[in-house]
Amino acid sequence: MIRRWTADLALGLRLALRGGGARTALVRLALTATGVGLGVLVLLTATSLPHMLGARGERAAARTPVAGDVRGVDPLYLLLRDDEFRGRGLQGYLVQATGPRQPAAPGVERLPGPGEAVLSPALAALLQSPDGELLRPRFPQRLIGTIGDAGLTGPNELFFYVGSGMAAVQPEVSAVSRFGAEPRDRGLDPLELLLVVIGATTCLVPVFVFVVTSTRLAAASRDRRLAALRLVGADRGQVRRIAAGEALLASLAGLVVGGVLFLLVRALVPRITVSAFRGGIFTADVVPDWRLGVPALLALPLLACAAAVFALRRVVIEPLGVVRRGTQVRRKLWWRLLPVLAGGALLLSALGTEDPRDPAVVAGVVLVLAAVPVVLPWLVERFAGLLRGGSPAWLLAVRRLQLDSATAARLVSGIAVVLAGSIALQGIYARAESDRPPSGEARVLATYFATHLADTQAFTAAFGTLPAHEPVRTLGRLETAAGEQTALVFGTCAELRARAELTECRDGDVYAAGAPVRPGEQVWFAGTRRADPAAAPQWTVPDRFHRVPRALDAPSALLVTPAALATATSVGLASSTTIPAAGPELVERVRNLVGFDGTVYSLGTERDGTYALITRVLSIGSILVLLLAAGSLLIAAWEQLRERRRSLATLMANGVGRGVLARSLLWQLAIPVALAVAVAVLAGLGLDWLLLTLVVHRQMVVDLPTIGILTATAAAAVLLVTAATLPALWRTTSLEQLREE
Amino acid sequence: MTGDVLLEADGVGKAYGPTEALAGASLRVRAGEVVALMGPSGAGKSTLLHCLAGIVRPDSGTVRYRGADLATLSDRARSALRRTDFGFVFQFGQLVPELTCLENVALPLRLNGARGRAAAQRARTMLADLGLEDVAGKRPGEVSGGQGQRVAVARALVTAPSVVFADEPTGALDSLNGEQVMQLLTTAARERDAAIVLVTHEPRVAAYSDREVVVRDGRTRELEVTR
Repeated sequence: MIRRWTADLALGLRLALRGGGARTALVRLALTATGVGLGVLVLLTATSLPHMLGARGERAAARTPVAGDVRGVDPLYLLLRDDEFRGRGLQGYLVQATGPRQPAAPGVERLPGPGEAVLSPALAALLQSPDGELLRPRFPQRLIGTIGDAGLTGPNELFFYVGSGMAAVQPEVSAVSRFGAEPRDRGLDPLELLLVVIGATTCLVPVFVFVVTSTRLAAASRDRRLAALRLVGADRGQVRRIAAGEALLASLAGLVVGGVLFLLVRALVPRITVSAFRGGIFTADVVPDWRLGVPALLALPLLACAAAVFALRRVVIEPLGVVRRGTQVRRKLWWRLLPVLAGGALLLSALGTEDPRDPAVVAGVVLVLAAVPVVLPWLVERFAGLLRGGSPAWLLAVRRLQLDSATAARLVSGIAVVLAGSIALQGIYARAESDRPPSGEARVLATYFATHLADTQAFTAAFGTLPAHEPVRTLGRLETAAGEQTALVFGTCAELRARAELTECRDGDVYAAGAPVRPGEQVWFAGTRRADPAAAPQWTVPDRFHRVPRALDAPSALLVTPAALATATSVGLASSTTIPAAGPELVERVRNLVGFDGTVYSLGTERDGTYALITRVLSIGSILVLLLAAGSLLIAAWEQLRERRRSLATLMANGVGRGVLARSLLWQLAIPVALAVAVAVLAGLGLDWLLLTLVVHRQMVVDLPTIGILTATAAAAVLLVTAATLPALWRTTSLEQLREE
Repeated sequence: MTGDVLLEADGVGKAYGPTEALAGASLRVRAGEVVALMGPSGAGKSTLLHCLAGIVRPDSGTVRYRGADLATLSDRARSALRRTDFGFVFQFGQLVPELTCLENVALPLRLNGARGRAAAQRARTMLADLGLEDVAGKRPGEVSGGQGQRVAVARALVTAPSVVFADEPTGALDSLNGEQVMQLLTTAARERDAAIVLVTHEPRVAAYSDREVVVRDGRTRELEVTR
């Protein structure tokens, strides 16, 4: 039996190469292979995600510093610095050794001493390039090496180890004895897995529609061929196997195409830098999970074969020819509404959670999106049924749709799902965008930590040259030997007067507002003392100071003028200021000014990484899907012309103009696409309303430009497909087609 | 001429919706004889032929082949009969356009489980026997109508069938080509002791038969013809 089955499949493979003439056969093979190939690409990429995240997690864990005593190792003071340069993340450690036996950081040959730096290759390259000019002031150190792949999470990561002589006294410093924490088991959590499944499914729907459409190319001639096989003795099972064999060849070719595409994408992966994968992805980390990938890949050829066999369900192939089961059953609405009702109910059940990651919300969104292709066939059928005659072109189009609305609905269902998803997510994105400050202006909060008074004063002076900033405030925290803490407010008399009611003030004066310190008492700068008590800066409070009722900054504060603090050899003071509206260049100047001795937060210079990623993926996905949908429409239009060439030629012979036929073709494409867009807009906006208004209680923003662009793109696709079909129409309607075979 | 009864139709009736195509047609076909079914268009000739070949299941009456009621056979068994015991030559459309003439002739053998090389060899021999070596590598669309019908004859005979069903085999050919095809079909069938059931409305074609049966209004009537 196996030999018979193999022989049947082989015959199918052979017919696939020759079916309907060599050119048509190759076109069908190429189209199906492309469709299956794209599906394979989506599946391989999706199944690579767990390993990609896992490898990333392992890389991050390998360089995670671990505190604690390790015999034979001199602890390393390490201070994490999280910075930015023009929206790109810039991260690294300030390091200060306590002895020659330092712990080894992965990918780093030798950790830098003061005045030295070890940079990631991407950061080194950026500093060398003209783009990095504004960044160079932040890295005046001598470069002693680059970080190897083992010490980076991605090839484009901007990462550094900068040697520092004062890391030990900075707040939040840690004494590290080794690198390499246990990696968290970073597979996909159930929610992420669900999101990957949704994403892959959304991409696979149009791919599947495309594959099914391409296998239907030259279906009429295939059916005739199969009927001829029945006449010479092929039974129904053999016919199905031969049909499956025809699809199998294309599927196998698709596996190869998909594999090649995946390798191409994998090779290009290091060039991709998206905010969600800060620093990009190493090619070596993109490895499909074969436990998921192999079944998924095997499923694709089976799916294509099943689609080919399933397409025969309404066709009875008998030795005398092909009979189409014409009994059309009116589609029922009630069960088609179940997904949308269930989805809506789930979303409503999530009211008040205010968490869009709630599984009920995710499942609700999936169900509402899944409802689109389920409801669309009913809608297309009913809508087409309502249409009545008009011009001859309109009449021909409407009657054709009434005769077979299923094909049209199937063709546009993929486009409708993705458009609905795009509109919904763009709506959420528009809402998030509307909360941000006007584009191009950022609110910058800069904090500078100094261990010497001169540095504080230099920073304040340097900041004074920047435009439109709020007054610089310098604060510290003092701790007494008894462990009591009080705030230190540092400034000139003029500055201090703004913080407290001072009757008279001279440089060198100190004012206490409820501070638990005594004149002449020794105090430490808190926050710095944790790292190394012996090295913590200290100061002796002057023998005389004034008492004032209160200060604005804290209930307990010591207000100190510069000359009074000059007796301290080192300090621990943080100076901070705000620039309410800074352009991108100014933001980078502030960062350079602060360097790695402080932090700079800017709000509004760049879009949030996750949203940027979603927008980019959506744009690429929408374009790809539109191309696929347009391809499916084109194939279907060609196929219809081929099948109807005799009747079209007859119409021409009877005086119907080609213009009428062309317009009829246009209507046939435009009506279902218009319905798909309408359903997509309704579903997308409905989702926005449910998610924004009901779940997270935010006002909905209708992103009209996006809706307009998507609608215009759909209209352009219809026009393009019509234009691409016209040459075939002119050929098909040649009166030569009236000749008998 | 008169061998054992191979095919036997008894009171066969068949309707397509309200249209009654056959109304109690009966016929016997013996091994090696050529029977022509004659009659005007719409008389039910082709329907009777389809019932005899097991392609169409009659609504009433029985069709027996070598004593077995075709109606009781499964689709698979009837398909197997078409591969092994029956051959077909129709007016047009029965050749698979994607395959070469040689592959078309080999097709019933391949479907019956023969290996590719053996099937091709037998097909080549059959084509050579019928003087069609030249078209072996061509596709049906690349040969003339007459050649195509002769290839169909070759395909019908390649499995050494007991019965060849021919439905208007010359219907799409000019008279000269029609004569050639009929000559080939009847000669080759007789050489192989195969019976032929021939549907035609042309007396010229029917003249190749041993016996003529007229079908009118779905019923059969034997004509006394002496050749």
